[in-house]
This record gives sequence, structure tokens and C-alpha cells, in this order.
Amino acid sequence: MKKTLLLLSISCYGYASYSQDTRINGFCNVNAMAIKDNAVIPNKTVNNYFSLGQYDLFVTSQLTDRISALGETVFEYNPTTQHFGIDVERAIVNYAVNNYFNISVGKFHIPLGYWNNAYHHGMVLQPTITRPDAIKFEDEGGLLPIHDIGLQVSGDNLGKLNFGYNLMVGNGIASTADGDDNTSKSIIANVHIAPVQGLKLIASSYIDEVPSNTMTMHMNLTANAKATSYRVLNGSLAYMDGNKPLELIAEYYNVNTTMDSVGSKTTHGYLLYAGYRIKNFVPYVSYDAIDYQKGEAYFNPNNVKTTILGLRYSFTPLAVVKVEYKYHTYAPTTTNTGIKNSLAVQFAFGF
Amino acid sequence: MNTMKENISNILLMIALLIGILIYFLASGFTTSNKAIKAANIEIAVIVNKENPVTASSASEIKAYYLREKTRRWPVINKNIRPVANKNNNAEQTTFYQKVLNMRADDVEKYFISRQYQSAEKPQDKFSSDKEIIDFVGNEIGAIGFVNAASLNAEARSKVKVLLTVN
Repeated sequence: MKKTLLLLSISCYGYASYSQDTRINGFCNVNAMAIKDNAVIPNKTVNNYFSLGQYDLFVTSQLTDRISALGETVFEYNPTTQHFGIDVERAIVNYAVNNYFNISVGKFHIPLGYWNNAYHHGMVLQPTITRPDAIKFEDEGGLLPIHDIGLQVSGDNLGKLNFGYNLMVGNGIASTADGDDNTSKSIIANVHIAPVQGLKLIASSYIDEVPSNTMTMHMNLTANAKATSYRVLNGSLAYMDGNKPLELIAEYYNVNTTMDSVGSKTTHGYLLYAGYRIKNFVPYVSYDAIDYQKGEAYFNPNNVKTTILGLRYSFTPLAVVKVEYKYHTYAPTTTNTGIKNSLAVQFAFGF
Repeated sequence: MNTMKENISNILLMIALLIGILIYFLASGFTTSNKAIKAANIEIAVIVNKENPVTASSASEIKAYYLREKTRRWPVINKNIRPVANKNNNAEQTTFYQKVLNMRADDVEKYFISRQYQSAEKPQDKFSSDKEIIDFVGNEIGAIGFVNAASLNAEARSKVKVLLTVN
């Protein structure tokens, strides 16, 4: 009996280890910054420091021929608590029905625009040191609900234009990891084509409602307001063919919020990135901006513009150094000019 | 006005710095793992499992399957496409990357890492020898790989099917 059990357990182990292929990877980055910002320290406007970026534990697993899973957990220093916090950024299980239809459930980076799905928390794969303002993470003051928990169906490469789609239903803005404050769900739709190798054209949208007096993932309290409707329309173009020297990303986000107190307000978010690879170097420029409509009450409206001049060097695909000069403007006040200059170096790596 | 002047001078300083770094690295011929291993005068064979009815025979068709560009699952058998590679960047691998994929080794690596990072796609399965690759492709119906054509003895040919030979 013991022998039978032993043989059975060995055969089961053998089967499991063959069919389930799990890979554990990690990403991290170390930064050096020199910042001149009149707002930070009014009497001493220059600051410089080293910093540790997000420590990203990334796990993927092919569970069966059709089922795959992905987990991305980030350890990040929280200046408020002065401790490292842990956040499950993505946890997805995917069932591939066929080439044109996949079903996924879990916590996603929502299928809105290009950048949000091409680059996640591992900075080594991202072309710039930081995410553009328009698509910053929710807890960093971003416009968009980057993460959501729900169900997604998707497909790619249909027809000659390589048409693809993503449709997602999620808890939405007013939700936590274990629930949702309202019955209204977020609806995200993304359609895209890739007419030539490396070129992707995307149109996507996001619709949700936020009940009154709810702390949202944007860290805003919609106090004393009746339900806020929140809608995003997006158009993106990306030419990122790893085999060609030119890199180009252009995205536009139109974010509309409607509150009974102030009515309908529209915010525009833009980002433009262009790089050109010369051997293992990529010199690049980037411009991004957020332009709030006067009277916007859902967000803390602070128009920002950022211009970046940078150079990226890849030792290997998983060891990259970036050098950037950033010119950032924001709404001036009586104590600052609203201009921030910074020079940053980032060493990003994966293992 | 002074702020504007400072900003302009900062920008010019940065441009000069970046150009300086670029010139330094280019002039010093700084190279990395992309260092080209010249494709030796060898013949490689692109192989799939014997049970896979696919009939692709052109380099562009094989590239599309290997990179899972147009499809992630094989036609007819509807199985996951599992690209296979060498652990080391040897002459066979260089020949396959250059002549079939038309890509640099680092670009292939980055391509699969990006796909894994974006959508949990399984990257290449990597092996140390042609024998290990042949054994894997022979056992795994969805696998596609490449070996030195000289490694395909009678026993190997009973397990795998050759789609294309390249030299």
C-alpha cells in the first residue's frame, strides 16, 4: 500500500512539475536625482538624493495548455508611514479558448490606452524613468483608474488589419480589493488594429459612477455630492517595433466628470514620446500635460506640463540605465514659481 | 527673466552632457551581449513535433509562429505554441535569429520578456543541447525549435518534423 502511494505521489509530482511551469522574476530600480523646485524647500531650492524605486516581484505560470496566471506584487516605500508597503498590483488568471477569444479574471491594469498595458511596475521595460503625468498611478495623483478587479475578454490578430479587442467589467473607482461600494460597475472597452509590424492604433473608453461620500482610489472624497459620473475616452498611436530604430508613442485622454454641484467638466491628458535607437543607445524626448477645465471639482486641478530630454542605454534587455533632464511646470503660487528642473539617473534591472 | 535664463542654460548643459555621454560610448565601442556571433557556415533545421500537421515552410511563416505574432495557438491542433531556444547564444541560434527572425539576440530576449510581462505569455523554453531540444520537441506537441541539421539522426527524425532548413 505504502509502495503504491509512493509511486502515485511520484507520478503526480512528475505530472504537476511537467505541466505547470512557474517562473519567478523580479524588477527594481535605483535612482539618483538632483531637483531644483521652488515649492519643496523655499529657502533652499536645490535638493539631491538617491532613492530606491518599486521592488517588483513578478510571477507567471503556465498551469495547463490553456490556463496561465500572472502575479505582480510591489514593495514600495511609503513616506507617510515611513515603512515599505506591499501592494498586489496585478493578479490574473487567463483561459485561452482559441486565438481570438481569451477570458481573464483578477486584478488588472485596465485596457485603457497603450502605455498602461505595455508598461507596468518594472521600470526596466519602460522607456522613461517615470510614468507620464496623465497616466500616473491613482495613489500618485493620476487621472485614470489604472487598476481594477473584474472580468475581461480579449482577442487579437483578426483579419488583415490585425484587429483586436478587450472588454472588461470591473468594480470600478469606488471599490477596494474585497468589495464595491455601489452596484454600478465600470465598463472598459478597447479596440485596436496593427496594420503593419510594430504599429498599433487604439481607441478605448471607460465608464463608471462614483456614489456620494465615497473615498475613491483617486484619494478624493466626493463629499456632499450626488453620484459622480466618470468617463474616459482615449486615442493612442504607438510604433514600437523592437526591430526598428524609431520609437513613437502618442496618446490623448479625455476625462469627463459630472457632479451635481459643478456640472460636467472635462480634463485633457496628453503624452508624446519619441526615441531613436542607435546600437544600444536610445536618445529620446517626451512631452506630457494635463489640462483641467476651470471649476473641476472631482480632481485637485493643477495643470502640469513636463518636457523630458533623455538617453537610455541597454546593457542587456534587463539592465538599463537612463539619464533624464526634466522641465516640469505646474500652477504657480505666492511661494513658488511653478517650475521644477530635475536631472535624474536611473539604473533599472530585472532578474 | 533670470529663471528663464537659468532654465535655458540648464537645458543646454544637459544636451551637451547627453551628447558627450553618447560620443564617449560610441567612440569607445562599448558593446554588450549583443556582440554579434557571426552565423557560421552551418545548416540548421527548424523542427516541430511529428504530430503537428502545420506545413509552414517560409521564413516569414515560421517567424510568425515562433514569435506568436499572428497566432498563439497552432492551427488544427489548437495547442499553445511553445518556442524553444538554446541557453547559450551559439552559432545555430545566431543563424536562426539572423536568417529566420531577422532580429538581434537581445531584441528576441526583450520581445519575449515584454510579452510575458504584459500578458503572462510563457517565454521560450531553453535547453543546453540539440539532443535536449529534439527530445522536448518530440514530446511536446506545441513546440517549435531549431537544431543543427547534422543532429537529426534517424531516431530524431522519427520524433520531429523538419519545416525548413537554413544555411
